[in-house]
Amino acid sequence: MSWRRIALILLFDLRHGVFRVRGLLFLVPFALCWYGFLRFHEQTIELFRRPEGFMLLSRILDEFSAKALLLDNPVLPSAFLLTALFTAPFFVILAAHDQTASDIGAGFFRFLTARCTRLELFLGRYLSALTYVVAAYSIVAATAALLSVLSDGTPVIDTAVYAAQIILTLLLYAAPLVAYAALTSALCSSGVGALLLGFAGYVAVLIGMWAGNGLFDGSAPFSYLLPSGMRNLLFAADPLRAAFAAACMPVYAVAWGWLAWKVFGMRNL
Amino acid sequence: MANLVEVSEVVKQFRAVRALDGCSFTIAAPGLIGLVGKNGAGKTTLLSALAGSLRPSSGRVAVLGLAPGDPDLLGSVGVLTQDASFRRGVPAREQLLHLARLSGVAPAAARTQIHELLAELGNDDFADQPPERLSYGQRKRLGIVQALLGNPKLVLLDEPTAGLDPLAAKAVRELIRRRGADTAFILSSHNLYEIQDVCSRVLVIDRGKLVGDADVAHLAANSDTLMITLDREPGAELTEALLRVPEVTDVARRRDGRPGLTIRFAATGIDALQLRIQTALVELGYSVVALTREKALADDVLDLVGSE
Repeated sequence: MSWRRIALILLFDLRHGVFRVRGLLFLVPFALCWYGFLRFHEQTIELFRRPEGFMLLSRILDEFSAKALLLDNPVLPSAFLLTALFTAPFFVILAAHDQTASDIGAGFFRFLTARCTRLELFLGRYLSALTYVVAAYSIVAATAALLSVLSDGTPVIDTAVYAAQIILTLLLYAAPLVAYAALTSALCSSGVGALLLGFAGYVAVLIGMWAGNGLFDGSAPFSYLLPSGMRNLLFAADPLRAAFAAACMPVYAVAWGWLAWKVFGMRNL
Repeated sequence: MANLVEVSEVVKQFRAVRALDGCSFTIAAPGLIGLVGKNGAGKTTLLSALAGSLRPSSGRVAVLGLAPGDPDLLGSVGVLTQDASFRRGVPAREQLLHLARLSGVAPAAARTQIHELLAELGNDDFADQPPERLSYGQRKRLGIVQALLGNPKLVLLDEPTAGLDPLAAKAVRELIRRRGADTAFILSSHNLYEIQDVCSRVLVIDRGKLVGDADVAHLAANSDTLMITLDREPGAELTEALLRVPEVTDVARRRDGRPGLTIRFAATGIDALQLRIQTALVELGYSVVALTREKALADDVLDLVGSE
């Protein structure tokens, strides 16, 4: 395996994908959503400072995690992290749905199979999608951190370190979602098909999880099929639990990525 | 030393269609090899299997002793399949540069190689446009260029001149002949005249099986056939007149689409026979455009696969 070839594939795909239809399909709604969030950052800070905001958060997370998020860390970046994690499946599928589908259908890969291995092609496209997603989130995270320093007076160094932690958390959480999108992309021969299958498949898995969990009293083992099952642990006040959740994300990425690779490896390109 | 290509009992099943059905052949040494057959015979499937973009359902394919897709083979095989296409929206030259760099060519050398190859096929003025703005012929030329980038040892071309104007097709054939000294080519074509003109060996595929394997030079040297190209389609009176020539055993119209006749003979004095035939043609008002002693490849192929 040649990392040089993987890097070439990654850079070419990033350079020529960002401002094409599939790149803009993600970039436009993503930009609009986070522009709105950042535009009203003062109101967001105000909301989460009030008891009502804390109670709202306590319904999603446990009390200790909510306290850690709002009181021990800058409010705006925390609100960004929370919102980003809950909306990540939608945006990541939008960004990463067409890693390979269109090029399989159009026949572009037939020029590549004599020059690089299928694994290099697969990894190059996966890493390109992941880089794109994380870069976009990083820009918003950095902006949220900057606004927090300017508007809320949070300490610069602490806020910058927290922003870096947020970006790392989003990278870990996005990796398995991009792998899931790689699977749906490998199953299809068109970008539209991959997008529809990506969303429909995710909803189908969620419904399956809910139905499966209904068979068990108390525990919900099927929740752990998707990384969303570990999502709340990422905010845990206990650093060991948070670290455990973070360590599970690469496992999800490998599992979904392995499935995607099996499909892509067997496809006629 | 490993054979250039080994195909052994290869089967490829697409749902209800058996595109390759136990196809087997070996190419031991480099050369210019033609691959012919009817539509749906399995030519494109075979080339795709050799390129590694299709996996056979069973059987063995080896190129330079390695399985297609083997990392050690990367950059050694250039491929142009019929259904490959460039990425929309990206200038063609940038895509060629990307492909060259993947083949291990340094950027500056890649730019030079791209320019030179496009110049050999006409010009490179169009290469800075995205492929959707180019004509079919221009895209085809780009496809041939990408197959030659990085100087591969083996080049697989699926219908390289299909859709090209005569001048462009001639430029492609000349490029293949020039490069054929250092590089092995396997090209499929429906233009049997072109295959006969360019290739030294021809493989005939029918219904997924190899049904013919001919050395083109041998065909010409051992032929009991005269191929005559006339200025117009021959009439029945010409056929009758030629059949009256004693050494002529059979007269038939050419099956490669060109106006003329295929004349079979049993004679030792070929020069005298040719003179008698030409006299008969002139007396009936026909002009001879070309006369060669060889069997048309088309006749051999059509004998093997039927006259469709």
